[in-house]
Amino acid sequence: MSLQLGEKHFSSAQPESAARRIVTFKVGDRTFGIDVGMVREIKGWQATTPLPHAAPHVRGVLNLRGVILAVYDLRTAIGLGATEATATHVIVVVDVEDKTAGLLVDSVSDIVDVPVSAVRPAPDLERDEHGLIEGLVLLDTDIVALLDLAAVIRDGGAEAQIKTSRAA
Amino acid sequence: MDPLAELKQTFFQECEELLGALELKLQALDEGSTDPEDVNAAFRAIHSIKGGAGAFGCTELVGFAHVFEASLDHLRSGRVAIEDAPFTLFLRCADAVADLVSAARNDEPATERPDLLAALEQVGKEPQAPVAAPPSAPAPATPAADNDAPIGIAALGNLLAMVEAKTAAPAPAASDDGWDDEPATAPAPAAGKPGRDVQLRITPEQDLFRRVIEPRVVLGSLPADDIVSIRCDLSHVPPLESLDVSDCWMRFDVALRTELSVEDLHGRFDFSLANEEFEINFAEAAVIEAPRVVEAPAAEPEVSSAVAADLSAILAKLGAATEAAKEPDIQPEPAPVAALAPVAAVEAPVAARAAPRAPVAADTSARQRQAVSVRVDLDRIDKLMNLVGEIVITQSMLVECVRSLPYDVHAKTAEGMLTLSRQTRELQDHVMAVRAQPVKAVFQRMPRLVRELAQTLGKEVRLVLEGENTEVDKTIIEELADPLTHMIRNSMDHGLETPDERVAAGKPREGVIKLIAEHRAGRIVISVTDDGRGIGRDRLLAKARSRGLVGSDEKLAPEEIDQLIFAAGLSTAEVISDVSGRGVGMDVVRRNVESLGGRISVDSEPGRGCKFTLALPLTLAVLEGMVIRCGDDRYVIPIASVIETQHLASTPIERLPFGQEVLRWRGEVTPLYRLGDVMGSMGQTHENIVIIAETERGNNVGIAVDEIVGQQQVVVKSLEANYGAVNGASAATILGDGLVALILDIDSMLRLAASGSRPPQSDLKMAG
Repeated sequence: MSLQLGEKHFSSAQPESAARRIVTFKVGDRTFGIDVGMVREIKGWQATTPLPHAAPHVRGVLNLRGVILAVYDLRTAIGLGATEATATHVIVVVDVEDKTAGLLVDSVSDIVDVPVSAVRPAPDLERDEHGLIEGLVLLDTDIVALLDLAAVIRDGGAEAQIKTSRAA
Repeated sequence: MDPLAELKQTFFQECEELLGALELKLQALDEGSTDPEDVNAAFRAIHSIKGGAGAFGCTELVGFAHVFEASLDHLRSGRVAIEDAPFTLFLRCADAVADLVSAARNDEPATERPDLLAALEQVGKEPQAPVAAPPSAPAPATPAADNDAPIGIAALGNLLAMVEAKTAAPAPAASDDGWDDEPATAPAPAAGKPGRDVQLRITPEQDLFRRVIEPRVVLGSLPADDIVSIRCDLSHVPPLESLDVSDCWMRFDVALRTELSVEDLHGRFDFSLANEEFEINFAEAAVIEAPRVVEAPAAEPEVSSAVAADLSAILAKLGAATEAAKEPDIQPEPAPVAALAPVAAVEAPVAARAAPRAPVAADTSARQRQAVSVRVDLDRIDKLMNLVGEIVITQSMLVECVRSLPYDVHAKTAEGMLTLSRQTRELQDHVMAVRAQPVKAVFQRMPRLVRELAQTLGKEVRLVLEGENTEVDKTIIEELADPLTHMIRNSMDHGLETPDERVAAGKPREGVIKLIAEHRAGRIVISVTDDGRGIGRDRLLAKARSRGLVGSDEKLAPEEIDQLIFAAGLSTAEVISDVSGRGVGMDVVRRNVESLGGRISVDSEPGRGCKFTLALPLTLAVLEGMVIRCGDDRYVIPIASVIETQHLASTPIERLPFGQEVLRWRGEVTPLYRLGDVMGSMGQTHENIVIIAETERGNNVGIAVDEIVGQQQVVVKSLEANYGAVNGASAATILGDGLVALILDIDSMLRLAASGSRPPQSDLKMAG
C-alpha cells in the first residue's frame, strides 16, 4: 500500500533553501512530523513477530523484502498504550542512524515545507522526560511535534514502562 | 591495483599455502615419517617460494631459501639419510622463511639469520670431502617430483627468475642459482639425416589460447625426428604490467630437415593455424643458416638445455591447462607461458622438447585437478549465497501458494514443485560447499606458535591436533585465528608449569596441549585443553576483589570464579611478558567470539588442567530447521540441536522442590522448559510435544511446545542489523508466508530461563 500525498506550501517570505520538508502523521488526535529525508517508504500495517522480553513499544519484527526490521509503536512510546492495529494503520519505514526501522502510526497526513525559523524548541515538558520531541511547528490550527526518532527507538519503551507502572 | 602488485599479492597468498605444506611435511618427517615423497614435497614448496621471490626481487628470501633448499636436496639425493636429518632445525628454518615472506610482504627489512644459515650449511657436509654439490631442481624427466607444483605465480616466478639469470649473467649464474635441471642430452638428432632444410616461421595470432590451441599441439604436429631446432621468439611480449595473460605473443622459428613437401607441411598445420600464421621457406640460404642456430646452444649448452627443459615443462603444463579449458566455464591459464616477458629469445633443442610428453599423458588427471582450481573473490560468493537464500524463501512461498489451490491444479504442479525444491536444496548445498574449508588452514599455524612460545617460556610442550579436517564456513575460519592464538598463549603461559615444577608435581616433564575441532549441535566446537595447573582460583578471586569486580563479601562458586578469567582487565601473571599477562587476552577473545554468535567457556580442575571450549556457528548463512508453534507464535529450532521429539502426555514429568520441572528420558533426569513461558509467546499455549535438544556442552534438555509445523531449510537473517541481540534467539528467518520467525538458540534460551526467575532490571528500577 502506498499513499499519494498532496503537498501544501507554508506561506512565508522565507527563501526555499531555509525550509524543512516534513512528513506529518497522526496518532489519535495528535500530529507528529519527521524530516522527509528520513522516510524510506510508507506501507500498510502488516503482522509482526513479537520479540521475547522486549520493551513494550517494540511491536516486533517484520520482513521488508528480505530484510528484517523492528516496528515501534509510537502510541506506546508516548505513553498512550498499545495501538489496536488494523488494515488502515500505517507503518512509516525510516532510516535512523545506520538502521532501518518501522514506526506504527494511525495515518499519514501530509508533506509540508516548514521554514526553519518556524520550528520552536520543544518546551521542557515534564511528560517528555526522554526528549522524544525535538521541536514544535504551528501549522494552520495544528501543533506538529517533530520527533527525535533515535530517542523514540531507544528510550520510548523505558519511558512508557515507567509511566504505566506509576499509573498502576 | 596495478597488475604487478596484484601478481605479487597472489604470490604471497601462494606462499602461505606453500609454507603450510612445507611445515606440514617437515612436521611429519620430524615425527618419524621416512617417506621420500614428504621430502620431495617440502623441497618443492621451498623451491617454488624461492622462484617467486626471485621474480619479485626479494633477495634475502631467495638467499635463505636457496641454502635451505640445498640442504633439503641432500636428503633427496640420499647423501643424508632421512632418519638422521635435523628436522628441528628445518622447522625453525621454515619459521624463518615465513618471517622473511611476511617481511617481504610488508616491505619491512628482513632479519638476517646467520645462525640458521651456518647450521644449514653443515647439513650433509661429510668430514672427508666437502662436496659442493649444486642443488638440482626436479627435472621434467622425473615428473613424479614435479607434478604437485602448482601452476601459478610461483611457477611463473621460477621461470622469470630463470630467464633473468640467463639474460643477465650467462652460464655460471645458472648453477649458482639452482635452476640447473638435469641436462637434457641428445643434441639435435635430425641435423645429420637426409632431406631438405626448411625454415618454418610460426606467428600465431594473439587469440591462439582463446581458440584453445596451444603451441605444444602446433609443434607436435611436426615429425619429431625431422626437427633440427626450435627457437621461441618472445621479443613481442609486452611488459608484465600491460600483459594480458590470455594473449599469445610467442613466435616460433623451427628449423627442419625433412623429406615432406610443402603441401604436407601445410596439411599438418591445417587444423591448428590459419594460413597467414605460418610461413615455409625452402630457401637455400637456410642450409647456411641452420648451423648458426645449432651453434648458439653449443656455446653454452648447459644453459640452453636447462631453459629448454623448463620451457618444455611449462609447455606441458600449459597443455594440461588448455585441455582443462575445453570443459565449460573454466578459463584457460596460459599465464606461465605468456609471462616469459623479459626474454629476447630462447633456444630450445628438440630432444628436451620431446622428453616430457609421455609423463604429461600419464599425469593428465593430476594436472587437471590443479588447473581447474580458481581463485574467486569472497564477495562474489557472498552475493551468490544471498541470491540462493532469496530463492529458497521464494520457493517455500510458492509451495505454500500451490497447496492452497484446488486439488487437480495442485496435483499437476506437485512433481514440478518437488523437483524445484530438490534442486534449490542442491544449489544451496553446492554454494555452501564452495565456502566451506577445513579448519586445518588455521590449525597448521599453531605448531609454530607453540614451538616459539615453548622456547621463550622455557617449557616443554607437545601439541596434539585433532579434527583438522572439520569443515566450516570460510568467514568463520578467518575469525578463528585470533581467539585460538590467545587461548593457546594463555594455556602455555598460565596453564602449563615449567618442566621442573611438573616433575615435582609427579607429572611428565612434557606438557600436552590438545587442540580439537568437532561438529556438535550444528556448531563447530573447538577446545584447547592443557594438563597444567588449572586456574589459580584464590589468586583470580583476590585480583577480582581488588579491582572491585567482585564485592568483598560476595561468595562465588568455584565455577563462577573460573569464569572471571573472561572479565576485562584481569591478569594473574606475576611477570608481565610478551606472551600474555597484560589482561587484554581472554576478555577480548570472549567479545570477538560473541560478536560472531559464538560462545566461549572454561572448565578447570586445580592441578589437573584447564579446558577452553569455543563454539561457533558453522555458517552465518543457512540452517536446517524444525518449525514449531507455541501459542500464536512460530519458532525455528536448528535441527542439529534436536535429538528426538515425543508426546508430552506419554512423558512422566516431575517437579523438583524449587519448581523446576524435569522429565525422565533414557533413564536420565532431564530439565524441562515450557517454550511459551521462556519466550513469552502470545496467545494460549497447549503443550503437546516435547523436543529433546542438545546444548553445546552436550547436556540434554526438554522443551515443551504446542505443535511441530514442519521441517525446512531456513535462511538466517540478522536481527542485529536493524535491531539488536534478542535473548533466546540467535537470529531470525522468513517463513513461507512472509512472516518472521525467531531461530532459537538453546543455550541462550536456557540462560534466559534461568534469569527469568529473578526480576528483570527494569522492574527493579520501577520499584525504586
